[in-house]
Amino acid sequence: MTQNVIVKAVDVKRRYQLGDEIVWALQGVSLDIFEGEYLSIMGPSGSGKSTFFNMIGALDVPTSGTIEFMGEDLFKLPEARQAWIRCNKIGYIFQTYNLVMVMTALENVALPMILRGEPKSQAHERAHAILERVGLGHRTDHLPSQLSGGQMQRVAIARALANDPAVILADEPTGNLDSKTGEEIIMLLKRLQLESGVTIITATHDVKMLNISDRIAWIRDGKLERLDERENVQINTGAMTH
Amino acid sequence: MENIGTQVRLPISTAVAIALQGIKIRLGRALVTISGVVLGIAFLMSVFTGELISGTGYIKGAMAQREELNNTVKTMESFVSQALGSPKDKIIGIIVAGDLEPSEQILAKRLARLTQDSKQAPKEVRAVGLSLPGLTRAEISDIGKDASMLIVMGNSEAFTKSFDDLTAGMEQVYVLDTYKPVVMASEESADNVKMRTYAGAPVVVLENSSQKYEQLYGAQQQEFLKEQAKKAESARFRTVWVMIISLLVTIIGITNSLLMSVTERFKEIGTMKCLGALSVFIRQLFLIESALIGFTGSFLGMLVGALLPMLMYSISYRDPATGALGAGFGVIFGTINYSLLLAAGFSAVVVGTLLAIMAAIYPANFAARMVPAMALRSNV
Repeated sequence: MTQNVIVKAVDVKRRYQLGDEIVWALQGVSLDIFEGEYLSIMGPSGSGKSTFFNMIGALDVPTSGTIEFMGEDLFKLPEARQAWIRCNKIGYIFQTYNLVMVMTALENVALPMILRGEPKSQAHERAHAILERVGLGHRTDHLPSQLSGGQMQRVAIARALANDPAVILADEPTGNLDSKTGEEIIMLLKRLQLESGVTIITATHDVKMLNISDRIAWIRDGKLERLDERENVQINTGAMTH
Repeated sequence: MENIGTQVRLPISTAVAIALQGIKIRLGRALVTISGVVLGIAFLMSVFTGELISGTGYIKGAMAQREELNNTVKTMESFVSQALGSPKDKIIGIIVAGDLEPSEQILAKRLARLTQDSKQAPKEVRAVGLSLPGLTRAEISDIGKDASMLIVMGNSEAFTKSFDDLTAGMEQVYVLDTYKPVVMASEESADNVKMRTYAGAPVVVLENSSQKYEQLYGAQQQEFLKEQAKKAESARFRTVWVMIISLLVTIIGITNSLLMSVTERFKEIGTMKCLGALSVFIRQLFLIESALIGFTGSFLGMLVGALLPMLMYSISYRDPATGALGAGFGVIFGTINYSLLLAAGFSAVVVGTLLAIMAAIYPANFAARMVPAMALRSNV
């Protein structure tokens, strides 16, 4: 594996104002993420892992600290460049799928291509091919409301792959799925990483994710508690199971 | 490593296509929003159409004009009955010069109808230049013979030349000059009327002069006139007030509908942003959708607001003379001022569409500026 850093977080802090109370969701997290690796960000809910995940994905702005993406300070870039990164370099997968409910599976997958200016016919053709790749070639014209949770998550994965991204960010991708479907989704992500060399970053507290991760970042109380290589994983799973 | 590019700005047609698709799939929701606009604009439009039909304020409605016409006829009739007493067994002559005013036409018809009323039928109603069932055709030289009253319709100026001949043998000459818009009446000695000195007979002239009106009808009628003016003034005020209120109701209705439809889609906006949509694009999407909804809604609302009052007035219209129902459609649809109605309808559609766009500006901007993470988090 090449050790090119694709995302570099430096002392990222994020503060939220909840009424009169100020909450520090992130209290200074620094982390290098390498090209082509499978990184899991683990931590209980409220640990700040989703906040950190949002920062990496250019979805939220840190209170202080920097995120470098492809060597550029993400939050110093103008809006159109940030949008370009979100469109072309990052694929997002969410716990709640976040499909556009008024669009069919095919249109959802084609949307990122449309948004970067591809003609509709070409976008639809490619979207069809990607849906087939995730095993949904037969349900392209269904609306999300007509699909099961696992199928929706597959559509979301296909959409994340649409523009051939460098990084796939998956926020609790198995959180709303039963364990069998969840496992299928995890295997699908792993297969994609191996096949196309895409960097996969997941925020999760699903221990099934650990076995396939290259590295695991443990976040607790807004801090990076520990960073594990794969070989140490088994021991730490034991420690984490409450 | 590859350089970071700049996201392209999409053509407006892409935004239109996506907005249209959103409306199509979410038709139920869109219809709710549209009906909000329809209600607002229909209300605005019906207030205006009502004014066009029966308004007494800034716009003189068709019905109000009709009522005024009715009052004019009543004034003339009351003059006839005052001057003549009961028309029973009397002879009335009518001379027509030139075109008749609508009020004169009605008066002539009423006089003709009078001959069918057994209780107060005159001995004869004869006319020159006017043929109506019930009227006797007369030669101009015979018109005044044994008559108790001579009524001149149209422009009486045309009659000064041979008037003496016509009125020969009459005890009194009554001239109904209904050329002026408001008929007033006065009884004067012949000396005071410059244009007409008719062989010593007292002349009654009806014309547009409140002073003369007062002499005949007295101070009470003057009070009545003042009362009428006051009523017209308050009607005018009421019209303006209702217009302002209905505009406000429209604005609030439309804004509320659109605010709801934008806020409940924050999550979708967040998703779009994740996929690389620019703020400009999000803004366009909502403004276009609002414009489409606003236009559709205000067009429908305009139709409803114009047709409904016209139908209602038509159905409930009673003929002022007979009190009969049924003639309403012809009267309302025949007399309403269509160019004003059209102008109002056009403005209503423009106002509705603009309001819809304006109402969407704030939520669209708010949505467009949102950090994606926040938009995704929101649950409405």
